[in-house]
Amino acid sequence: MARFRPHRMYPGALLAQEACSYQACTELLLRMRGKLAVLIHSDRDCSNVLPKTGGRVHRELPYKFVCTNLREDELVSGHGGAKLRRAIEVVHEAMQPDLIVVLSTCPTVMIGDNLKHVAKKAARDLGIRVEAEITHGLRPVSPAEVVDTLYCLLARAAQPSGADVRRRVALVGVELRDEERTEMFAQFKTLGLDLHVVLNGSAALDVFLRAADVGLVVHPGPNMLVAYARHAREVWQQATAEVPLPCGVRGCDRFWSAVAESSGYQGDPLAAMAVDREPALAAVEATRKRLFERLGRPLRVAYNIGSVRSFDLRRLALEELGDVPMFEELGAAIALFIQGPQDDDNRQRTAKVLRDLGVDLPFALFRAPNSLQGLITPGEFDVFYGAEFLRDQTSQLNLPLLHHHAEVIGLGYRAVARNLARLEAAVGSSFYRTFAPHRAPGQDADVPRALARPSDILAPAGTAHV
Amino acid sequence: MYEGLTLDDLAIRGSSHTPFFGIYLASHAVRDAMCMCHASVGCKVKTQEHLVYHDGVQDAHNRRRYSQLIDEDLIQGSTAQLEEEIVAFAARLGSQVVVIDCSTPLSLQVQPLKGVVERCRQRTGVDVVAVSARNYDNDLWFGYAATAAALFRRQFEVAAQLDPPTVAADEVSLLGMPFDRYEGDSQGNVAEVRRLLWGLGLKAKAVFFAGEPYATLADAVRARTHLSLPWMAPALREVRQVAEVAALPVPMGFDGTRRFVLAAAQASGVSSQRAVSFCQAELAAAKPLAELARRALRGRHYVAFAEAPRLAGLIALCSELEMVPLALGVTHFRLGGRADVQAMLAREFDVCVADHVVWLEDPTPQAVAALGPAQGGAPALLDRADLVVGSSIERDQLAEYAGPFLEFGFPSEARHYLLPAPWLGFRGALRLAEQMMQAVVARGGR
Repeated sequence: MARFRPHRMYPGALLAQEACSYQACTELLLRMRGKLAVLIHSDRDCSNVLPKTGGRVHRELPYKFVCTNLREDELVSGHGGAKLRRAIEVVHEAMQPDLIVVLSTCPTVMIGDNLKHVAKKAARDLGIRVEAEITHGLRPVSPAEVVDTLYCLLARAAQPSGADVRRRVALVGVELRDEERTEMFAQFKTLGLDLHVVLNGSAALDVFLRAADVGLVVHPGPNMLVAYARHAREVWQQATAEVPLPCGVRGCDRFWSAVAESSGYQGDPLAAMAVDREPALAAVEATRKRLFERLGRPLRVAYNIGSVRSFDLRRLALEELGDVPMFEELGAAIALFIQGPQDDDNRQRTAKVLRDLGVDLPFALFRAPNSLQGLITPGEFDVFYGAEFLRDQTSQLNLPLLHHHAEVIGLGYRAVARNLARLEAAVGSSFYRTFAPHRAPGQDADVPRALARPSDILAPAGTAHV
Repeated sequence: MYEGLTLDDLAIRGSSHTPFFGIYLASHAVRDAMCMCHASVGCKVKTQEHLVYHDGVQDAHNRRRYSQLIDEDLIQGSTAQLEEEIVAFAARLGSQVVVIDCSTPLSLQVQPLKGVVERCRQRTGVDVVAVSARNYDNDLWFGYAATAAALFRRQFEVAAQLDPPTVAADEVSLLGMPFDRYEGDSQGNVAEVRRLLWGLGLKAKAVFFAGEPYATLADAVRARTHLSLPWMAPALREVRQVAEVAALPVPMGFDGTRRFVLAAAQASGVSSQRAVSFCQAELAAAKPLAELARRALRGRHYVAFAEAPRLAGLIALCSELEMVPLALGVTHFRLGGRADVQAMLAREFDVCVADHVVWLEDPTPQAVAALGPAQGGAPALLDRADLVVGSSIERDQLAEYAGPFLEFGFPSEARHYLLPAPWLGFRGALRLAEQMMQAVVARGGR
């Protein structure tokens, strides 16, 4: 029954969930700023994918997303191409976007509309920029692959200006809030580097068009943005550096050490950042002490992976393990709860992925969101670090949930104290003292429970983890 | 051939929720149902997002699965995979009914599902229903009504295989109840409409839908009378092939609710005197409170957006409170457009909308945004509004508007209810008036 196809997964997202490339592209383009119009070549049903609420669509034009709204007769009679061509003209005439991105969906892929050809011809005839991408859900891909493909598409038109780019850096694939960006700029400057562009979900289109003018591309690894990095090296002759997420003091230390090494910085990068680093270290130590006093033992964390078909760049980085240093430096006991099929093959595969990443934390697989409650005993953990939509599961377990979203947990040294305050608030919540754990109806029953370390799973018969 | 194509034709409207979503919404409203999307990987994710933010209590994604349709299935056939998913998950989730919901690619494949349904019923031991709804020409309310019709029909099919049911003289079934979340508004509506019918001595056990277990719908076959609300209109013909179904007016506003009670009494053979007495007592109790609301709201200008029956009921209530409409937007289309709202107002509420009022029908986001507020040019219509009523979608389309906004309708992502907050019935009229009053007062009014 399970249709999980790990062999097809992109190497940077081996623990992620498969995604529809159309949905992924629209999610990634939602927040992108600039005069960008996305033309969906589809029936009405697929345009329904777009969030209409929550201020989630950023647009500078009257419409960021439009749809050819194909009817059944147009789909079956081969008129899709003609309508798409006219739609490109209408969008251009009405809004004059800097770029029109054309995306297909399952129905238009099924009928074989050649949208790349239509887009190319329209671009040539009208003298405008139109890029088409075949996207659909009939051949699922990993979210990281879509990010890579889309960033390549957007950066394709960038041309080197001839400027001196030796100290210029592009940070690609890391979502940053304003205060994090401010810190990043300052720290790069401390290392004698100029953070020239940040390519992420909220970057404007013109930022992508400046991507050729840097000497060093810094991106999360391992293996994320594979095609983009190759393009940077081979076409633009840029150096590339894989970095961990700067989450927690240790994460930040590793991040800046990697940047310093790649850029040839001669001094001690951590000493250069002492102004921000020392208070962060002090916050970690104080929090560790307080939590130990409160709990009488180390913090126990259930760390969630793979539960959201996420296009959040922070979640995609390092197989969603980028935030682990934040808990490690508190001396926490961490167990991973990874959403995915529970069969032996997938268990072995997951163990290998973790081992390759140098992670030997105990992990358990759960096959669907509502299976989670069956894997955890109330009181077994102090906090669940994971997807907000699992709140119904953690609520049944009386387990406080700390949402692993970029809006909640910040990056950089300056974010450390605030992150820890949020963690302490979750752990210390009095809410569940009043209410009893419960079991809601309609939960996945009979979930096999098995927490094991990769080293135990992969150990030769007769040996065991000590 | 597409010379006449305009940007409006390409716009993605609030009504772009199709029957595929409506079927999901309807199956979410049956507590132990599972919605099985016969679809590829993105279809489930993209649609469930629209409901999970709206319903803050019953997490919608947990009772929805998808058949993981991939390219190979389009060639080799997709039903084997669908069957396996249904059998596995119906058992795991303890579902009592599985509703199959097909996405657009499947409609192009034209693969019959009758055999799948039969086999899955046998293999799971629970009910399985495939709802047929074309996504090209319909909206979510069509999908919602089509699901109600399919499950209504199914109750009679099952009953036909058993001993003839004993019809209960005091029982009615109710079709077309818009139940979109397990919060105080939807649950309050169910309770209020049941209370109104109980005022006539009628028990509405089977309500399509009420957020209750599937087993409750089986009571439909015992009901002496089948009543329907206007949300059932897109599938009324279909349910009338199964049983006689009386179409009732929307129970909104004070007079509208009174008319609903009288119509329900007439359809169910209850004496009109009993209905009149019940309404008199209700209205007498409501009057001082309604007066309070009227004093706070009279003369206030409002702009409202909703699907046809809800909009008509809202206009009728606002008219009773002496509020003044500036613009009225009929969202979606299968429940009717402007002409239908006006006809409903005339027929069911005795209300007429002034000619100068601006009407929008299934509006584009640009048309909604054009209402204002003014951006330095001529005064916009919204500059005169004391209150805007609409869903989260219109709220976002009017992002520049900073005045009072009452989130009402689907979706309502910011406004949630912990306690009963109906908008149907006498209590619903008071609650809605209270909400409007608080919205205006909280923002300082004007």
